[in-house]
Formats: sequence, structure tokens, C-alpha cells
Amino acid sequence: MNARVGIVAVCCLALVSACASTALVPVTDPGFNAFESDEMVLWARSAEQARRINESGFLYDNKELEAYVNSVARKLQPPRVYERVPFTVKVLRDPYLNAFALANGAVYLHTGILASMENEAQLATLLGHEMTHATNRHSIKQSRDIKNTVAVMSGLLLATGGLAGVFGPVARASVYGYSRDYEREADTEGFRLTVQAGYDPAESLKLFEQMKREIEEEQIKEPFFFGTHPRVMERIESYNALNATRSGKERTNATNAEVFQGHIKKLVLDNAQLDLQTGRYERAASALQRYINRYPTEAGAYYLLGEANRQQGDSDHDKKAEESYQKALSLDANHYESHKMLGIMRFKAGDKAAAKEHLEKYLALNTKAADRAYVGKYIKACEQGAPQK
Amino acid sequence: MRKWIIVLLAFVTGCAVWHQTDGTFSGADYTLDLPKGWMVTNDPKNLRITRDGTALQQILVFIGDIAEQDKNAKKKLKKGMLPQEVAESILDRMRSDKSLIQFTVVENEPALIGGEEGFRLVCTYTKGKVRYRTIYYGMLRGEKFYRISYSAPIRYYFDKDVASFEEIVKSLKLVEEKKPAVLQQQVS
Repeated sequence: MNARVGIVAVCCLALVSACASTALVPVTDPGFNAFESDEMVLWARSAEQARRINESGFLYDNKELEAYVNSVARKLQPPRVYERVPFTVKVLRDPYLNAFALANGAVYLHTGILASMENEAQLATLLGHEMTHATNRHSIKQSRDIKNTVAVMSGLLLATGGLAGVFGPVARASVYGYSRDYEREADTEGFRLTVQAGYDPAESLKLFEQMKREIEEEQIKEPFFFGTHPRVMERIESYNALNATRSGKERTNATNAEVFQGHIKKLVLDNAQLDLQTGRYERAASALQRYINRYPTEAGAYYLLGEANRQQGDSDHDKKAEESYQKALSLDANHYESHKMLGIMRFKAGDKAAAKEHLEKYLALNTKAADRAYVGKYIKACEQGAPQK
Repeated sequence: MRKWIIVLLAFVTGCAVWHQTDGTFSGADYTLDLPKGWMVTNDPKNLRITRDGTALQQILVFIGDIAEQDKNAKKKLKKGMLPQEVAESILDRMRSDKSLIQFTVVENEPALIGGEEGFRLVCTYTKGKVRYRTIYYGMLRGEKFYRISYSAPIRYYFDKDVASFEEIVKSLKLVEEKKPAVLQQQVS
């Protein structure tokens, strides 16, 4: 009995002495006055983190696309909100399905998540969700939640003699990602913003259904929020419920699919290259096939599809790779990268004449080839008659 | 002073046992000439060499089965790859490594390693707040991957020991395989 009283007493002391309020109004609320002091510290840290990200070399360098995603963000929140949270949206060169917002309104979208979208309404859904994390002050709330949990846990640990294992899961749940409640709040408010801006609300759900399909079909196991099956399932449930509660009176049906696809056209190819870089060949191939269905006469897309097959390194994929390179050359006879890869494949197969022809064309068409020394060796080996191994 | 470096290296690198070189090193698959007085670990499959500490200059020699060295990599090396294909694959891994900030490839050329066809990469990147340069020689030989690389901060340290490194590479002699070895794949 005495032990129980002791535990309760220590917990109460911890709560009274250390817990900070998480009842903070959103910056969009008329009752909002000013950011709190610990929040300003968090903003300063966010600014430093954003600076590091921006200088890391991982930003996707496409000013036009950056201006476009920021213009979509501006449709979601009025200037008076921007005065409080100066949102800036940037794109990160990263093929994984993710997006995140820092406390100070710096929003980052991975090329991987943009490449998997179909239209502007889906982009608005994602931006609305992320921007809500900032306007509704989820970072500082979560930070305080963790501190409060730690304060309570410290009390409990003292009182129970350090049974850390019992409380481990509680701490982990607080540390990784926003809580379900904050995510659901971001879904709800983000959805409202998307509809208010005139976008088709059905696309919000489609975004996450598309992600779910990708995760399942390609067995994606990513560490990021939008790349995990349970989290995407939560979003689907959430947006299903939001769609069901719509009055049906809204006449919002904008998707701006063509505008969006025009802006991400180059990004889709660049992201496929990033997928290849990380060895995600099937994902790259499926994105490239979708691209080819939309733009069937682009040699560069066929070349990359060839790479997605060749890099898998087995005879079935090699055959498909050769077909793709040949298709690229049928569309553009001067596509030197396809000449190079066909040359290398023929070289490895021992077909010296064809290898030499393609490799010489490659060097003739690409006078600044950085790999001239390698290719020169292959040509020399072809002339000497012995394929290099 | 040397004793303190040994103690510090043992502390920083965990379990690795360091000793001073006497000028040569012999593993199951290779021999190397090393500058006398430098510090070296005692694992021939995963050899680390330094003079002033691994943060200031580090030479790595990894030799092992392709499959084993690839076990944590999504992008796999495959037997029969050309040196250029291997080099591109290694570069792709480095480009995807988020700990290598402002990663830049300075050179990617064919090279001979122990008399065999391979490649030589030169790249720069920032780790922590320090800008590094790495020279990376690599090759496939049958089922095995060979790597010998040198990394050091660009400011002051890199130039100081690059000639010693190139001499070490030149001294590499490959011997016939006796038993499987383990190889790790790291950047620095």
C-alpha cells in the first residue's frame, strides 16, 4: 500500500513540476497571439536544419518546379497565415515516398512521392496535410508530449526501481513520428484546405490508394512515414471517412492533371534514375512504363527502361534491355547513351564487330564523353580480337 | 607519443587491435609494402592503415566474396561485370549515401591493380563539417571484390600522404586464393 502511495506521489510531482501544456491553438485561429519561447527555440533549430538540408547537395535543382509547388501551397493558405508561418516548399532528390514539414514552415517533398502522383489535386492534398503540421504546431506539441512522457516516466522509474523495459514502448511511440491524433488532424484540416481551394476531394483518397498499390505491388519497405503500409492504410481510412462526411454541395472538381504532369515530366525520369541508383529496378521500370504510355516517342525514357533491365544482370532482362535500347535508337538514331550500352552488351557477348560499331558511334556523337578511357579500351580489345573480361 | 596514438585508435575503433607496421603486410590473398611506423589493424580481410589516426588519414583494404560484401547493399555487384560497371555501381552507392554531403566525382578511370584490370575513382564529400577526398581502387577477380582506398581531409592532410598511398597500391601483389574471405563495403 505504501509503495502505491509512493508511486502516485512521485507521478503527481513529475506532472506538476515538468509538464508543459499541449493545448496550443493553431496559428490560423483568431485566438492565436504569439509563439511561445520554447517554440521559438524549435523554430531556430528548424531553420538550422533547413539550412543544412538546403546546402547538402540533395535538393532537386529545378526552379520552375519549385515555383510551381509553392504556387499550389499558396492556394491553400491565405497571405495572413504566411505572415505567421512563411511556408517554403522544396523538392529533395530522393526516390523514397516521403514528405515532411519542419516547425518553421519549411516543407520538403521527395522526388519519389511527386513522381508517384497523378495530378495537382493530389499534390494539394499532400501539401495541405504537411502545412497543417506547421499551422497546428504539432512539432512543439509533440516535443512537449515527449517531455511530459519523460517526466512521468522518470517519476515511475524512480518509484518502480528502474523497470525500463515496461515503459520502452511508450517512449518509442512518442519519439517516432507524429501521433495518430496529430496525423488525423493534419488529414482533416488538409482535406478542408484542399476542398476550399477548389480541388476534387476524390483525388485525396486516390493519392493514398495509389501509394498503397505501389507499396504492395513492389513490396516497398521504407523507413519513412508515407512509405509504410500501416501509415498509408491509416490515411486511407481517414480520407474515406472525410469523403463520407462531405455534404455533396461543394462543386470542387479541379485536378489540373495536365499542368501537373507538364511540371513533373523531367522529374519522373530523374527519379527513375535515382531508383536505379538505389537498386530499385522494378519500381524504376514501372514508373518508366507509365511515362512511356504517356509520352511514347521519347528515346531517353526507352534508354532508362533499358537500364532498369540491364542492371538486373540476367539473360531475360538483358534481352528486354537490348530491345529498349534499339527502340530508343529507332526514335533517335543519335541517342549516344543507347549506342554505348548496346556496344557494352555486344562487347560482353563477344560480338566484336557490332560492339565496335556502337562504341565508335557513341564516342563520335559524344565528343566530351567522360568515360572515353574505358570505351577506348573496349574498342581496342575489339580490334585485337579478345573481349575484355 | 606513438603509444598514445595506439591507445586512442583502440578507443575510437572499438575492438580492432592496432600495431606498428614493420614495412610489409601479408594476407591470405595479397601482400603489401607499408610505410614503416604506420599503424595497422591485424585483420587481413578488412585492413585499416593510418599514421596519425583514422580521422586524419585512413587506408582501407577489403577483399572478399561479392555476395558477402553485397549483403547490405540493394545494388549488387555481379560476376562478369566490366570494371566500368563495377565503378558505376560503387558510385551509385556513394551517391545514395545521405551521410556524404555535397558528393562529387572528380575522376573515374580504368586502372591496374596488382596487374589486373580495375578502376580508380576520386571523389570528394563533406562528412560532419570536414571536407574529405577519397581515392578508391577496385576490381572484380572471379567471385571476389578487391578494394584499396585512401580518405583524408582535403585541408592539409590529403596531399601529405597521397604519394605514400599510391606507393602502397603499386606494391599490392595478388596471390592465388586459399580460402574465402570477408569483405565490407564502406566509403570511409
